[in-house]
Amino acid sequence: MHPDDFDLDALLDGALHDEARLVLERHLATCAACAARLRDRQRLFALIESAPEAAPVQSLRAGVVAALQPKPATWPRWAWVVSALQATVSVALVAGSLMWIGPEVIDRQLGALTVFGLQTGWAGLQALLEAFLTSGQGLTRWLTSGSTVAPSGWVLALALGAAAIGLFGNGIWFALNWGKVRKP
Amino acid sequence: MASRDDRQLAELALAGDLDAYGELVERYQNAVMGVCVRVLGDRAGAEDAAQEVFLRAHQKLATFDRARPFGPWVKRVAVNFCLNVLAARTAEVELREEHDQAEGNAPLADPAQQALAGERAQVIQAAIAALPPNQRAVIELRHYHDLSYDLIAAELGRSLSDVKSDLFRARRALAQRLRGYLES
Repeated sequence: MHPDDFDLDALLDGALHDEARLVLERHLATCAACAARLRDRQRLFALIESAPEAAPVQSLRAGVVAALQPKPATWPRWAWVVSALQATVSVALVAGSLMWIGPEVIDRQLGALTVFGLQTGWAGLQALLEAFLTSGQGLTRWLTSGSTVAPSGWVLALALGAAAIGLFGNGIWFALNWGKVRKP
Repeated sequence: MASRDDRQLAELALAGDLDAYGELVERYQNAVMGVCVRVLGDRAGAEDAAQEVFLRAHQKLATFDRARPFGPWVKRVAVNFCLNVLAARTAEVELREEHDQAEGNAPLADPAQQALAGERAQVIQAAIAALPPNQRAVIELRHYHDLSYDLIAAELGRSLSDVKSDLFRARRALAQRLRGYLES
């Protein structure tokens, strides 16, 4: 029985079992027509495999190496959102506390400072520091006494402290990473 | 200065030497391009794919057995990448198959005429590129990577009978399209 192209391909692909291969090879040794067809298949395979490699228009080397270069740190998108929220909350905390406490109380607590106008110079700074100290002592007394009523002064101190931590933290982070960070 | 062999370059690249990796890219870019052109069927996409192949190969460099040659390994990376690209091009695959079926098995022009338009190699590449993606993939793995039917089936996630069938059809189509070269 004469093999078809499917069988001849399997022979050339080395996909026949030993017994089947031997039977086919014996046939090919005695059948000139089938042997000629095998040679045709071999020529086809050789032609297919002669397709050469393809050169790129320009070398890929530069593009690949450039793509593999380490990139500057990118602040992820969520970090920008958190930072903005942090700054907003800090400012809102201060503003909310100030409004809650009321300008008269602030003026009384801080002495030389007023809500709508800051006294400049050492006297103003002294007053501010004194207010913080006073508020801190008030906070300590409040914490140790277990009282649930918050003195207005230490509420302001807490608000200013939180704002300072938030804005200060942002500032320090940007200072340390300036030049390394870019928006996504 | 003696040129470094693949093993040395791979070890240097693994240690972070991008210049060494660039040299590997330069050595094997034509081979990888050949795979991409044959499997993807279009040259324009092949260049982008080839660059991506080298980037992925760099990521997988730790898995490369440095006792073996780099060329066959990076070509397998290319085949796998291009097959994934083909799988993603579902709509394009359907259009291409309709086009190829419409083209049928019409032989290409007489070799003498083709010599006017381009070289034999380009004709062979065009004939392979004209095959449907499944047939292109089996031709690539059998004729350019010398994989057995079983390994091709495993690589493509297809049955053995499908692989044999596609291989046979692809060869029949190529025999028709390259008839002029086979008869000359």
